[in-house]
Amino acid sequence: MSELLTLRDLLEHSRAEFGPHTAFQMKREGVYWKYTFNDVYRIACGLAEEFKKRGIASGDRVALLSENRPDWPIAYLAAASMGAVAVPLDAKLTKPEIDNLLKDSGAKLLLVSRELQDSFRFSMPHLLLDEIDKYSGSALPPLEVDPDGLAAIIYTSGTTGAPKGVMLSHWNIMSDVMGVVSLFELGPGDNFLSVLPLHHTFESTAGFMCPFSLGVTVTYAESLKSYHLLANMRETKVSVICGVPLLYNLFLQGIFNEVEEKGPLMKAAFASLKALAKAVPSQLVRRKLFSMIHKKFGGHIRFFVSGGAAIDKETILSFELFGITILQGYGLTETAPILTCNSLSHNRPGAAGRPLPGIGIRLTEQGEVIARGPNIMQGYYKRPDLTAEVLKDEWLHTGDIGTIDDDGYLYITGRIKDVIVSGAGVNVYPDEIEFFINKLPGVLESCVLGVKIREGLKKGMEEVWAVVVPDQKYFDKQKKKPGQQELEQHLRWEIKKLNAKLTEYKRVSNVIIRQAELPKTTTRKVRRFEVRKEEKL
Amino acid sequence: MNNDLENEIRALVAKVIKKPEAQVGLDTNLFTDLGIDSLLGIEIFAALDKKYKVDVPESKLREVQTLRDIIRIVEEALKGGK
Repeated sequence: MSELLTLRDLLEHSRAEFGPHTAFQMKREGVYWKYTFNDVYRIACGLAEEFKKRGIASGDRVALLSENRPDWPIAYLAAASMGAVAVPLDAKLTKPEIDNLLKDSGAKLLLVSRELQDSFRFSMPHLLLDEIDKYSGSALPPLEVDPDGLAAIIYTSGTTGAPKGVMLSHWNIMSDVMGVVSLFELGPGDNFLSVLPLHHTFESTAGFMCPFSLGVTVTYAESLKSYHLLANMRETKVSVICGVPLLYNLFLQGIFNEVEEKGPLMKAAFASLKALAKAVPSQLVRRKLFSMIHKKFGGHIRFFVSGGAAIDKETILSFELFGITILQGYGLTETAPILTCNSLSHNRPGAAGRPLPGIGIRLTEQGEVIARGPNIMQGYYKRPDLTAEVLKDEWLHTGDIGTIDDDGYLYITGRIKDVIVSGAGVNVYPDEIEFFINKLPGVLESCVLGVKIREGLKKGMEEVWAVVVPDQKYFDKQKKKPGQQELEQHLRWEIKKLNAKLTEYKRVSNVIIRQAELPKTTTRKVRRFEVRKEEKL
Repeated sequence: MNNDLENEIRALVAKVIKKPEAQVGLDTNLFTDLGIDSLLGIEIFAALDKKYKVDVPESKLREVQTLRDIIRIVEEALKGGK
């Protein structure tokens, strides 16, 4: 493949190479609606023309807010191909959070699904994604798109407070796409099932642009309900899924539940098949042994990709036994996002993989993973202060701690930064939650930490815990001074109320009431590490 | 509220999230007290669809905080309200 420097190059290349093949499809009301690469180009050209008519010029921001659907990537390509900057927003955010990001990004136009427009009623200029099919054109507006020009601003946090938008150029994104596709032999006839939200950079790069560059079809899941996923897999012959660890744990749980429900005989047979598969490391044989599982997944699965958060090695090994490879990758929104990735020929379960071509990975003396390459972001939008904290002499400081083995495989072992990574691969920034907890009546100070779940479906994933110190003065002022139990009840109730206002993944799942002041540095910053140690978390 | 329905749905939720039924109180917050996230929430809806043949859209998940909310949505759907 010739080098594609911009998203406009990507759109033009794929139309020229794969025109009549299906690019995107989705089941609606019982029928798969298909968009060929020619259709995508035609609609994107018409839409780009419409953007121009509405006064959108090169560099202007166009926000995207929708559940996954084929119109999303088409609108993204249309905006980027005419030099506008796409601002993908999380469809799960609340209205004030979305408004905050729309304001920060300076978006001139919003592309929104009818469903979300009906619930949020945005008054700013907008276009309904449900209606973009009516636009049609034969050529993109004539203009040069600069590979170093901004293609997208992606907000990773600060939806409620000070927003933090990652600025990615066309070449940031496309260099990552080119790096990933060089590792896989995929092409027309392959079919990706898209399950992760498209505003997540892992999904937009690995689940949309990579397949799009190779002529691979992307099927947008009808819903995330397991029976819809399985039906979509069977009906469209899905061969690859990019998912997060929880999705694979749920698949695994579904398999075990079904075996359980079929009674002790099936359970015993399943156990012997597992023992047999352990003795035979051939994937072909394992696929035959567990043909029932493969049939359930449609019978065409080539591999699964896992990203967003660390996956339990046991999950990878369990699927390996069934003859299904899970390839783990690693990266950050700031790196467009993939830095390292396992491939079918070079796969080490438990490792995050080896760096993509052109990307350098090193460890600092403290063991922090730092990365350099064409995919490293331009910086945080309007936040040179935050950019300077992570980008030093071309090296991006990831905040993750790792090791690199003799063969160059990266293993992530911990984190320096305070960020909590949920099982769905969404970042939660403790200071953002603390900001709100500290404003609650009766709270003196707080420390929010990510705590690993020790059992169950979400084993190994992190959840949000808060250590809260009550404000005695507040309670002393009350007419009837509360006892210890009432005081704790009051604080828990306040946090419960706060939770209702927060986006689901930011909610505090456990509260520890602490009487002693939180340990702090000389600059009065809370020492999270010590809090964790003292509270035995 | 129908007690049988309540018990059935409680059992179903507990099974999906792999927690004892006793932990799933009527007003226990499913997200914050039981650590359910949206993917598990959708799995609960999928199990409800399977059992009661009610197709609850994923967007309804936004309205759900507790078991009581789920029961209300299922009751509405069974009545053909939505």
